Amino acid sequence: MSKLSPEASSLHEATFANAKGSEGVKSYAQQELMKLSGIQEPGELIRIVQELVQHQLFRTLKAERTLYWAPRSKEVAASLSNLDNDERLIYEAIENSETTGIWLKRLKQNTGVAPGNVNKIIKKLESSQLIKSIKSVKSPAQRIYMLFHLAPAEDVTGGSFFDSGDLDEGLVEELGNLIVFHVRSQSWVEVKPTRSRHDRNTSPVDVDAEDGGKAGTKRKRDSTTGDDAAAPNKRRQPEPVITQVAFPAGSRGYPTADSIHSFITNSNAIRESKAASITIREVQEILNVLVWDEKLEKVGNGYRTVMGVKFRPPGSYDADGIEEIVGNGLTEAPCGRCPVFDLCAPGGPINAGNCVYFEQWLKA
Amino acid sequence: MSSQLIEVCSQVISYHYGETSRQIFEALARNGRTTLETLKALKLRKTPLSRIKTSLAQLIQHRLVRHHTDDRSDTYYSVDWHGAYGLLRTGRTILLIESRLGEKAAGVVAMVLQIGHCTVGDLAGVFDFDENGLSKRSNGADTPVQNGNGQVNGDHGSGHHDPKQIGSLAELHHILRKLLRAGFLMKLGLRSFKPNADIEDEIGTLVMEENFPDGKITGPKKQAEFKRSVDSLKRKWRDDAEYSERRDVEGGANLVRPGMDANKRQKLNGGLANGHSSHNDEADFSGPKLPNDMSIGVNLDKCVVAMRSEHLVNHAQHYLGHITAGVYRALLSVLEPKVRSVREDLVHYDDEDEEEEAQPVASVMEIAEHVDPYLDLAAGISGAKSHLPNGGPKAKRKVSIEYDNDFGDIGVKKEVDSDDEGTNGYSSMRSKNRRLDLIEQHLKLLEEHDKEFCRRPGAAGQSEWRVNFPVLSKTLVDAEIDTTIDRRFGPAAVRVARMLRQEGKLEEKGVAQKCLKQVKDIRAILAQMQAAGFLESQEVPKDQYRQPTRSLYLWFFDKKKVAQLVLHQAYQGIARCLQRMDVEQEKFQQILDKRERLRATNPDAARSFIIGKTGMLEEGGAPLSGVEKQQLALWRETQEKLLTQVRRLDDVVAVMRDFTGKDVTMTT
Repeated sequence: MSKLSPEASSLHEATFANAKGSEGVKSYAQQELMKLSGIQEPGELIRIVQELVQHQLFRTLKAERTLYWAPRSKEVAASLSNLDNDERLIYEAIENSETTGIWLKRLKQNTGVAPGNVNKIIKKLESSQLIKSIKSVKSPAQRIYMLFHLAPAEDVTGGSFFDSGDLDEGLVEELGNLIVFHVRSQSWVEVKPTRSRHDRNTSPVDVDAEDGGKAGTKRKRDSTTGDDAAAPNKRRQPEPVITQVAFPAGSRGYPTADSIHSFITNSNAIRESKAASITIREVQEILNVLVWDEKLEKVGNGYRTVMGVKFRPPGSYDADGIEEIVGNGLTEAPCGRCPVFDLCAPGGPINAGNCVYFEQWLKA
Repeated sequence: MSSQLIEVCSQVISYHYGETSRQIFEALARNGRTTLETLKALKLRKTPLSRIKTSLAQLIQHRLVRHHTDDRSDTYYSVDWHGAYGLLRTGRTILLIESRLGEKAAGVVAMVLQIGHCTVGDLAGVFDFDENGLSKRSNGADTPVQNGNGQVNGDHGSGHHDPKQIGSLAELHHILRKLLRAGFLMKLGLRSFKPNADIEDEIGTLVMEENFPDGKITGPKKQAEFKRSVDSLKRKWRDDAEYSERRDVEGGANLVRPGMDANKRQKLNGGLANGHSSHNDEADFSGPKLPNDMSIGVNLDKCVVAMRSEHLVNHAQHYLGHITAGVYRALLSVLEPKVRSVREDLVHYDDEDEEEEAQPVASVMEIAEHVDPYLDLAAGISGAKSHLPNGGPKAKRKVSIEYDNDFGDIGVKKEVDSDDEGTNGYSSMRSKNRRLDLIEQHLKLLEEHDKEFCRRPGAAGQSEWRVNFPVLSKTLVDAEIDTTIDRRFGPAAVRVARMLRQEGKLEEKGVAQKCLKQVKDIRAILAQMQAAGFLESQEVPKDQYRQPTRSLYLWFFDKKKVAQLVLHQAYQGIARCLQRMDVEQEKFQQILDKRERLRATNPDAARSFIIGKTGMLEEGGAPLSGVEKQQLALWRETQEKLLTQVRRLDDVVAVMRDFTGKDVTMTT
């Protein structure tokens, strides 16, 4: 192959240097190339561009009837010139998929290269470090290839919460926990329960709690009568201890997704590179999940923790969480969680009379 | 009507009124309205006609069966679902009334419940007042007021005159008027015993005769007109049937002066809701009497309103703490008498705004009267102390530890202050203003919350508040469903449910992505929930062959369907609990029989009745010994456990079915 002319070389360098600063693939139309090279004569320009394309230093792109050219690095061009036609076809198909990558099957369909050949070519390209295989979150089973020097796009990797295609649930959970910690400290005034010490000595409920085993049944009865007779003997019940006091309505200082994001990235709680990659949108995703979990609630533009939601010290196991859940009448009755509920009928093989769950429940 | 509900109702009816009544009810429930002849021919061939008639009369007396006689003088009978299901709620109704209007009122309602319905004269007769209207009964043993039931039976020898006992005829009338005004009792007319469908028919026919003599209502314009006139006639009839202080009271002319009326009402309502004036024995019972021939019955719809308030208060307490919830309770109790019923099925609103406009309002002054005077209002809001009566919120947000300490001091100090001020009568205008201000602050907190517990209607009525019940009822339904899902499928499933409710239809991967969960975990949850009927999936084929493997599955949450599902499961749960109770009772039958025999042979023994949680009567204090008493205690415990469970299941039913008032599955 003939040597590259100096005009072509200078144009390639100019475009390559220009493209380097920008993200993604930078391509140039005729006008831009004219400006960069200083060549005004179209025929001359076409000659140069053609030369570059032949040398694999430019690739041609087409959009809306206009042609664009994108520069390649010299090293890539050098190894490309060693490839045969099929290999080049495959490479170009992969190149065109840019940061999203292309599925092997699609590759076979689009290029028209014999399927048996494709695998061979792929292997060769991979070993010469021109392409690489990546894993997409959307379709973990598919083999997807993209150019070696590119970083996969966010929708392929799934964003910061994904670790080589797998969701890092631990990270999500701890981040959620951290957000709860942060938001709670910002959205409620914590009050030390000063009066509660006095209450604790006198309240009957706590005395019950001390004698262990019996407390369960007693408490239960207490709560049921308490519900009904709420109003008339309200005085007799011990006041609930206040530990969280709300800010007056109209307060506008509640943490927003923005401020939570900056808290997370500046908190040193997670690895720096990870912290840098977390976007506000990703923080918002966690916030949404926390709202659905009823850990946060929206107030105005910001977020507030739902009353009573606590920060769980990292590493501790959430053991008492189960006790806190208060079910309703349906789920507390044996029927609400009965596996054969739909088969249960009076006079049938399963009925209230011979129900083993009732037996256990009544004895409990 | 669902078979589960039939099971529940017939179970309750058999408990209260025996087997024949149950059979009649069940036959009517399953087959729809029928005449007596068909009823007998259908299901009750072996039962003598006289017994059927007696039971039917009993059911009608308790308003469980309604009847209608048509032009050919055939009488059709049909069940009243609300009445039958309402039997389960009688106990809690009485407790609710006790907490709102005092024990005496609760006693009266218990009596009316016991006999179904009655006239004022009959009720007064039971009390056996002498000519001066004072009770003839001498002082006696102290028994709780619910013993009213004993008095009805007349086997309650020793009467008494304690503060809990109704002392005079005037007092009885006073209480009845109070109950009627509050809507816990209602006036019964002939139409109260007719099935709703027949009343509707009748209205339709009447309107047709009067307004559309040609008998044609074709075309959208005419139909709308017809509907309007039907609705207005319905409303008129309903208003006519309702108790009114002016119309229904003997010598009601005395009350016509509006100023006096309003004053009195305010005085009564204000004091009573907090249960203060029930201690006031020297209360003024003067006032007009009710006509003796007026029929009264218990209005269970009103109790649903009260139950809804309780649920809302609990809900608010969960999110904003008990102090703010206390203010909310006050707001709701102001609104309660203004809400006619949760079933506003006669009014049609064009859009949601209009519907909200129709909700009643309450002023801060009214609310302040209902707020528990012991509630430390300042402790619920940060920086409440520095809040001046007529300044803007001065409290600056400042999150620091010193601030907390500072506040702790304030909280304590404030309490001392309020104790000094006393509960009634404010030392100064300033402290009263401050109190109003604090209440307003709490209301604003409630308004600000995501769930919108209350609202301020427009800028004009700054101090007026209203509650958007339709929306909040839906919130309660959602919360109940979420709790159920949480307990059944775990917290991850709740996340999925809430997410799908907000986002609509999503594919499996979309669900996983939004919920930040692994696809394989999500798949398990989705499948589990779908199998249980809590989630729906829609198949969207990708190609013309509709291969299952090549199809998309969109998941979504069908709120209505899930609500119905939970409701029916709750019905079934109730039915099973009641059935289990029968089974358990058999185990203890021997001991229970013995107690019965002892009672029969020893009729002089003191009998005391306790109304159980669900309004079923229990009797205590029979002479038994040792092991037998233990056995009896065990039975009581089992019974209590099951009844409590029934009550909690009924809570679920109330939330799912009654609070929105939109449910039509139980209309007769």
